[in-house]
Amino acid sequence: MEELPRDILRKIFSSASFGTQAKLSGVSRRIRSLLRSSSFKPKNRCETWMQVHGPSFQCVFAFDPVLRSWYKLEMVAGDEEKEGPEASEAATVSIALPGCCLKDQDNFLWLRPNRFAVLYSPTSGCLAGLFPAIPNSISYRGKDPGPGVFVAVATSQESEECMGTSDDKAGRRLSGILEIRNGCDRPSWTAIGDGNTPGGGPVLDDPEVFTSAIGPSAFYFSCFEDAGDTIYALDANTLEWSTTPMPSPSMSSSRMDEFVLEKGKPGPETHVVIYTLDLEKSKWIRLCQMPPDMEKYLSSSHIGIRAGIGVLFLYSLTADSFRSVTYDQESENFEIVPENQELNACIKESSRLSKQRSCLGDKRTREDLAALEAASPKTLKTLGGNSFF
Amino acid sequence: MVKVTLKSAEGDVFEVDEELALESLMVKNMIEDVGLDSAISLPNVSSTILAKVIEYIKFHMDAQKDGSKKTSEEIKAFDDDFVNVGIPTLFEMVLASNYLNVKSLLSLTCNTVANMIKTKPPAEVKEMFTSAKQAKA
Repeated sequence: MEELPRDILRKIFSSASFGTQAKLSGVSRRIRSLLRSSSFKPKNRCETWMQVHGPSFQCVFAFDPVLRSWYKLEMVAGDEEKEGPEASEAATVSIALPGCCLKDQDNFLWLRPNRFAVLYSPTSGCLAGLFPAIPNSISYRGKDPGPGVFVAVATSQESEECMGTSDDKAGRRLSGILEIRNGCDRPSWTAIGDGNTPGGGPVLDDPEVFTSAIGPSAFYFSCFEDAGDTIYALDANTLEWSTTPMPSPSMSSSRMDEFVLEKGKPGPETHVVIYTLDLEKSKWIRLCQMPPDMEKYLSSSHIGIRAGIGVLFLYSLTADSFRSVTYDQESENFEIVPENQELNACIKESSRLSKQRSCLGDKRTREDLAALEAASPKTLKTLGGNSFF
Repeated sequence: MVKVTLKSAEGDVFEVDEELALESLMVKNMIEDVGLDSAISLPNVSSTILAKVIEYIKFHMDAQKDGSKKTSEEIKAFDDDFVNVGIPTLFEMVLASNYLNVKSLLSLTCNTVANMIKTKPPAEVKEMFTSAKQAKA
C-alpha cells in the first residue's frame, strides 16, 4: 500500500488532539520523517517563525500549526572574523510577522503573510528589499534601499502592486510611503506621501519607542507621545491613516498593531487582557483575558503577542528560554505550545556569544550584555535587530 | 436511469446509477471529459474498496432523499459500522476516498484514523502506520 499523502496526514493529525508533550514530540518525529521524503514545502506549514541570531550564527525556527510545535528551519553559518558594527551586534531574538511564510533565497529570507511581502536579510539583520508577491517565482529584484534604511513592504496580490514605508534607522523617522507599479521586472519606488506632505503619514522620530508592524490589512506604527502611546495605522486598501490612542497606559509597548496586551494589577492578582483594534472604527475591542495559569507559565512581567493565521501567539523570552501559548479566537481556548529544547539551546548560545563579545572590550556589547542579563524581551528585541519585529 | 460503468484495479466492473457516480468529483470530471460510452477505469481502487465506497455513497444518498426514514442515530450507526474495519482496509478507504474525491467519506475515514491515534503513544502510532503499510506490501 502506498503511504498516505501528506495532505491527508495533515488532515488526520490536525483532527487528532494530542494531550501531552511527550506524545507530540514522538508523533512529530514520525510525521516529520514522512514529510521529509515528500515535496511538502515548509512554507505551507509555517504559521509564524522566530529568528535567533548572535555574532556568529543564525537560527530560524518556525511554528508548525499542525503539530503545534516549533522546529528549526535552517542554520546559516556566520563569519567569526567579521569586524565592525555587525560583529558587535548583540544576540537578538525576533518573532516573525503575522502569518508569514519563509523561504531561503540567496541568503534572504522571504516572508510572505497573507497580503504582504517583505524581503529580509538574515546576514545583515535588516530588511533589504521588496518585490511583488508572486509565489514560487521569487527573485530579488527590488532596488536595495541601502544600509541603515528600514523598509516594510506590503503587496496586493490582485494588482501586483507593492507599497511600503522607509524609515531611517538612525533617526527613526518615517520618511515616506512608497509603492511599486511596474511589476516584477521593473519595480520602482515612488513616494506617495510622507510626514511633510499633505495626506502623508506621521513623523515618528523617537528612537526608543517607535515600533512598526504589518497586520492583515494595514501597516501599524506606534510611538509614545505626551498623552500616551498611540498607534498610527495605514490602511493597505484605502491608503488612509488612522490614529488610535492605546486603550490603557499599562499597554505593552513591545509591539503595537492590531493586537495589544494590557498588563496590570488592578487588584490582588495580575492580569493580562488582549485587545484588538477595529481599524474601520479606530476603536479598541476587549478580546479576552488570559487565565492566570497561562500567565504564570509565561512570565507575569514580560509577555509579547503576535498574530498568526487563525491563532494568536503569546510568548515570553528570557536569556535561557522561549515559551509560547496560542489563543484560538474561534474556540476561545488558550493552549501551551511545548517548549523546543533546541530553540532554548540556541537562545542560551546566543546569550553566551554575546557575553564573549563583551569580554573583547566592545563598549556597546557590554551594554548589551547588561541588557541581556536583565532578560527583558523588549530589551532583547531592540538590540541589534530592526524595529520591524 | 443512466448507468455508469466503473472498472476497478482488478478489472472488475461495477455498474452504478449516474447520480451515484457523480458523488465522486473525480468520476464526475472523467465523465465530463470522456463521456459515458466507455467504462471509467479506476486503477487505484481495488474491487473490495470500490464496493465499500459504492455502499457508503448509496446509503447516504438514500438517507438524504425526501421521505427517508433514517434517523441521525441510524446514519451514525451505519458510519461507525462502516469504518469498523482493519487498519489496512481503513487506510485503503482513506486513499480511495481521496483519489475519488468523495469528501464526506474522506472526512469520516480521516477522523476515524485521528481518533485511533490520539490515544496512542508515539511508538504505537508508528507501529500502526508501519503495519498498515506492510500488511499490503
